[in-house]
Amino acid sequence: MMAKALIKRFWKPLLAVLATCALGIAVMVGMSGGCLSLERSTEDYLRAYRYYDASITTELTADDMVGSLEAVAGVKHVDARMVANTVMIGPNERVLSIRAMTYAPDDWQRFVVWESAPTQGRDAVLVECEFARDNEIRAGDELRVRVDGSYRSCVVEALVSAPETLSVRALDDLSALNSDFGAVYVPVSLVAREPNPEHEQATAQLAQREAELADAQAQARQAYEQALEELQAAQDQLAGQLREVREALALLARAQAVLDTEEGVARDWIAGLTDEAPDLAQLRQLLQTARRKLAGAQATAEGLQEDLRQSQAAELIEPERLASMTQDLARLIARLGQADDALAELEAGLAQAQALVNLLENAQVQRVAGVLRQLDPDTGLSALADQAQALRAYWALCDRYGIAPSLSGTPHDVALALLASIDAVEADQRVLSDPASLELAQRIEAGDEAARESEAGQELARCIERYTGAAVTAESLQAAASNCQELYDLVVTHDLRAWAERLLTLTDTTSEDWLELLREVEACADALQDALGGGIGPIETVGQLLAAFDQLQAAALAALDQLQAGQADVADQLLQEALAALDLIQGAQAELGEYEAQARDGLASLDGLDAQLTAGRQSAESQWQQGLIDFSRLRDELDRARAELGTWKGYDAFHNQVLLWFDEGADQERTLAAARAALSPLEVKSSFSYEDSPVKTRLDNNVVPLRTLSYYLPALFFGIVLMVTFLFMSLMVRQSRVNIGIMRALGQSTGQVRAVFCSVGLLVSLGAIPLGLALGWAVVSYTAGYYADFFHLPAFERQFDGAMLAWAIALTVAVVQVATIVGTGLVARIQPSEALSRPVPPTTRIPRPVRTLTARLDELSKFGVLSLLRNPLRAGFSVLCIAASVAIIYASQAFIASKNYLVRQEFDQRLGYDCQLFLSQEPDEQTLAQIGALGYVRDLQRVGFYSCPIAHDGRSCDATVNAVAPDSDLIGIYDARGERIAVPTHGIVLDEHLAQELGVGVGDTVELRGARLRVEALSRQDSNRVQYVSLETMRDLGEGSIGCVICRVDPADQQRLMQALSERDDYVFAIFTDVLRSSTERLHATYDTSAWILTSFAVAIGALVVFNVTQANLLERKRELCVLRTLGFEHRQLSAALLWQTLLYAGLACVLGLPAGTLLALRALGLISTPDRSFPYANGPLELTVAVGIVLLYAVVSHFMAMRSMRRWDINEGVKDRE
Amino acid sequence: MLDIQGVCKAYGSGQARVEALANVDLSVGDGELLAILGSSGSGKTTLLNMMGGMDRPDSGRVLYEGRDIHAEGDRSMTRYRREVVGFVFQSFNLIGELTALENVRLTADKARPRSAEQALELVGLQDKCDSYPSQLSGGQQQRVSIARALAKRSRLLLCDEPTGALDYETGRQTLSILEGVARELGKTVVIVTHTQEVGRMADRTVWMRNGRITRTESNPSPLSARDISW
Repeated sequence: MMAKALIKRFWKPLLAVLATCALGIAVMVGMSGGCLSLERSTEDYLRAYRYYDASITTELTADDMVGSLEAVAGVKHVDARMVANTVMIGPNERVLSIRAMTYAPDDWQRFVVWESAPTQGRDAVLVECEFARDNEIRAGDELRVRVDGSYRSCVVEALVSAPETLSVRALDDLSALNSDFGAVYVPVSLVAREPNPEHEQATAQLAQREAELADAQAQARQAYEQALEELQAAQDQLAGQLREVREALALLARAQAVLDTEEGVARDWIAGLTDEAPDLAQLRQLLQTARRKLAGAQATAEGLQEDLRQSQAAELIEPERLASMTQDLARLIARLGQADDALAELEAGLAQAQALVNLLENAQVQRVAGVLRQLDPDTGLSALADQAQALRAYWALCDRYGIAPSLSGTPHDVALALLASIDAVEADQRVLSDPASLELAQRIEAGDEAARESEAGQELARCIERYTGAAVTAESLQAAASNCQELYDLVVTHDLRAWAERLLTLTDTTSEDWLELLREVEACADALQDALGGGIGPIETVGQLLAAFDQLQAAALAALDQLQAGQADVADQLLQEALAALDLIQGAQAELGEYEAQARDGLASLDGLDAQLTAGRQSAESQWQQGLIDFSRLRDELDRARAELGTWKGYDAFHNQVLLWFDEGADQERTLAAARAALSPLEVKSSFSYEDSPVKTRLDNNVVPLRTLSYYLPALFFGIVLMVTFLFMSLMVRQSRVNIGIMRALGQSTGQVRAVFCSVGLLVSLGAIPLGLALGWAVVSYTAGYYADFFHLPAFERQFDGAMLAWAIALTVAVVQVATIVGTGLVARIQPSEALSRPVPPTTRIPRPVRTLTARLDELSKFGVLSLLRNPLRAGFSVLCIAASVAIIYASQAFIASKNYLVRQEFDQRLGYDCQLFLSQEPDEQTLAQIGALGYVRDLQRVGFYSCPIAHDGRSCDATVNAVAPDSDLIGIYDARGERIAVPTHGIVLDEHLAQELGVGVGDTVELRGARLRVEALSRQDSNRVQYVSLETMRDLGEGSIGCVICRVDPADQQRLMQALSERDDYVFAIFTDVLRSSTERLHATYDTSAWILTSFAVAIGALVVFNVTQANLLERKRELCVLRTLGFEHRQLSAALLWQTLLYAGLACVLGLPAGTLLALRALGLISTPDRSFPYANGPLELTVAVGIVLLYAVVSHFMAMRSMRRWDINEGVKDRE
Repeated sequence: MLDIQGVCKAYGSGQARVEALANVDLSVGDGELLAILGSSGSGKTTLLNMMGGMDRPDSGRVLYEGRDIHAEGDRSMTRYRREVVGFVFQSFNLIGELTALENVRLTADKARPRSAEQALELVGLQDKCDSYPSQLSGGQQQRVSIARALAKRSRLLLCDEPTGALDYETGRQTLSILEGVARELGKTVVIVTHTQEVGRMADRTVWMRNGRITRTESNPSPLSARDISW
């Protein structure tokens, strides 16, 4: 029920969704169906009317050879025919250029007969139907066809089309566009003539001349190749010599670099050696440096020897000179060896001196000697050791008894303390050994307090305490006395008092050092004894020790002196050697310089020789090219001779064509190659299979872009469907707030509510399918008629692409469902209480920039503009939908503009002449004078016309080359910036597309017919691309150009000119620029229809969107609008106010849609461009104005149509409206 | 000033036909404060719509200054609404995207540049000029609505349940403003209401039932709006 209510209430927006879906389906189904129908119909047509599988164009046809082709594997059938460009006189005496092709009733290729008439036994011709239509030729008309310079009468039996004329109209084929030029099929009987006896003889002579020419050509080639081989050998030899000299030069450069480096090293060395070495360390360093440099010098000398040997191998140095240098070097190396020995000796002496110095330093002999010198020289070292031991023992005792003096301080202090200690011990010894002390002790022990307190008693107690720590008893007294005696004995035994008194003289050595010194004295004595060996006796006294020390010092000083003297000698010797090495190096350098100069001279002369050889080679090639050109000219002469003789059928045929049909499944390329081989005795000018045929190429050029567009455009339309569906579904939800609130209040879930909308969406999409299919069928039907007419198809089978159909249906349903699900997202946010409550004023916040922008508007206009902000999402999607419409419209306009641009480029810029005449041979001065003598022909100019490859750097492209006069104003050539280019006297103007393919730019050189031409400028030609050279250059290129002249002639004189030309034997056909232009424009008109159909689809969608969005806004603002009506505003005022909103939609859509349209146009134009013709993007102010104008127009119209519903509103009810 | 002569209006057809007004005659004087009372469905709002040119009678005439306002069709009714009538609705009906001042300016006399500001000043909202309706209370919105009616210099102010959506105090303030409009500015004010007490501040009270005027009562000494209560 809810769904029904929704459909009833919102049938208009739902209808819009349905219509948009239908358009999407129609575009998808229509375009794909159109393409499929075209492909199938053309395939059927080609098969039914037997389009040939391959064609071979030969210089001659011979029945036996053609017949032999049927024996080639894979060939099913062969037809041969002659093809000639000639003229005929049609109805109303109109002279027309035709391509006459012979046909026979049993030919395989069939014709579609569009109109026929009885011929009553006369020669009957078939005329291509469109050519006939353009020139008002009907079946039964009488024509006169020129054959062999005379006109033969015939009757038009039928107007026909054939598979080979399929898609004959194409923008990139000027001859096909020329309505004055068409295909006529003539019977062989019309062109046949009796065999000529002279012909056989002339043919035999021709064959003989041809054989002679071939022999001459073969001999010339042999001579040329031999010359080339000799040149190549000489150049190879020279290259070898050059390589050797260059290697020698490199060797010399390396040797020079080594010598330079070593010279620097030698100089550094000399500088180092001349400095004086002040001490041993420096001497050691100097020796190390000297040794290193000696090693370097030796290596250098050996390297130099090796280089010199290599130089000798390279024959750069004379052997005598090399021997001398080698001897010098050997001598130098020997002397360096001697210096090395001297250095070794010096190092040994240095080691010895160093050992002595180390000994002096390590044993601290100096210090020991300094102290010992204060003692008596006769003092025995053993006595010193004993005393030290005693001293240590005494100190140990003192320490044990707690009476040891401090050991810190000088020996003087220690000696004083020692003396005091000895005195104390002696005093104590005296006290303790006194018997009175024993008595006193006994008394104290007995308890005699008086004795204890007496001075003696206390003294005794201190003594006992000092030596025993015990109480004053007799026993302890005896113990203390014993201890003291022991101490005293020690003093006496070691004569410590005497030693202490001796120590008093030592004032600057600590006692600890003294003890250490005494220990070192022993070590020192041993060391000195070891060092001096047998030079001294045993060291037992201080005096001996000092003497040994002095002796050692003297020996060390002597060793140093000797070293220093030796160093001076060695340095001097090394200096001499270094100077000798330097001289040698400099000599070698000078010599190498001379050799290098000689080598460079040799190199320069070799280079000169190379240049001469290259010039010789170029000259030989040039002569060969010239020879080729001469041969070509000879061959052309032969061809002309052959043409003059006439063909075997006596018809002035342009060329002969063999048409081949292959077996089913045969390999086309292989079979064609076999057929060509079978025709090898004949010159095969060209051949192509179906895949490379003009028909296939043109068909592909038309179908492939359409097929591609049939993918892109539906995608675009379904994008719009998505947006439109979303837009209106969200609108429906917003408008159904109350109903949704009620449903929610009654217990429905958001999912259930959404399901209602989805079911409506499904119904709409299902409804759209038949409508879309019907529209699609209409599109297919339209395109069927269009294609059938365009491609001259006898029947066009309308077909739907089943896969696309299924896709279209599935896409429609899916897109609508997705958009519905997203668009109804608002449902979840609608709370029943809120939906059912009294509406409150909207809480739209107006952003400051918007306020500023709208500040100058009156309140009513402001009301209209600001309505946009009430629902920005809807506004955004509306703008996007309209923008898509704008993009399609603008892209369609781009298509039209591009074609118009091509016409302007071709006819307003390039073709400044009125007529282009093709002649069977290049016109000479006489021909030009004859044509120019016709009074109505002006500005007659010769134009060279080549169709040949242009090559550069291994790449090659087929191209059309025109040779024109440099000052010609009949052909306009423009560059990419639109500036006119003059044809250069020398060089070539290339089309920039061709230049891009070849990878060349201005200044590069390309190869054309064997000549190398500099690219002087690049021209911009989007169709009918031609390269330009001057007539002067054409003379250098040699003959081979198609005869062609251009001129100005008034339209009224065209037929007079044709009649005059038709009397000429050399006339082939003419192209009149105005005819070409009108044909082109007529063809464009059919293309334009497609663009306008697309535009109308876009307009329909855009208008639907504007209409429905305007209605939606009206509904949403009904209450306010009714209030404004109540306040006295007229309908037109409100309508105008809301128009602001619509115009804003349209304006924003233009801002987005025009760039999108530009991108779309660029993509679409790229798709329909072909290698031979590009559609440039040429939109300008006009297209912009048209696109914007169309959008504004449909927006305004849709707006006012939507606004009409406001007139029917009941204002009283409106002011109470809740939704 | 306004004469309603034999006006009839019916909605629907057949059995569903409802007679909203049945041969109603009424004259409204210049500067008069008229209250129309009646129960729901009595026809008072329909009568107000007829007076405001918002609906066309099935028969009878509505004469303003002796001229039939429906005589020349929609265009004349629109002009009449624009030049003569000011409406005050129960639910205010302001434009949400416009400020209070802009809402008033919508209909303000263009010849008097400050009329909108003055109208807002008159209803005491001069400090709310830049506020949006959503930022105003119900009473303030109703005052903006009155200012909007005053700014266009309408001679006739038609108020449909002006206090219906307001609380008691705010409603009384609104009535006070309307009283001032009538008494001090000399405008004709017609108030349609359910509230009988409103009749006590009016110069005249009309009672309606079933589309007919059942009683008309003049009030020689109307009370001030501040003195009535309901």
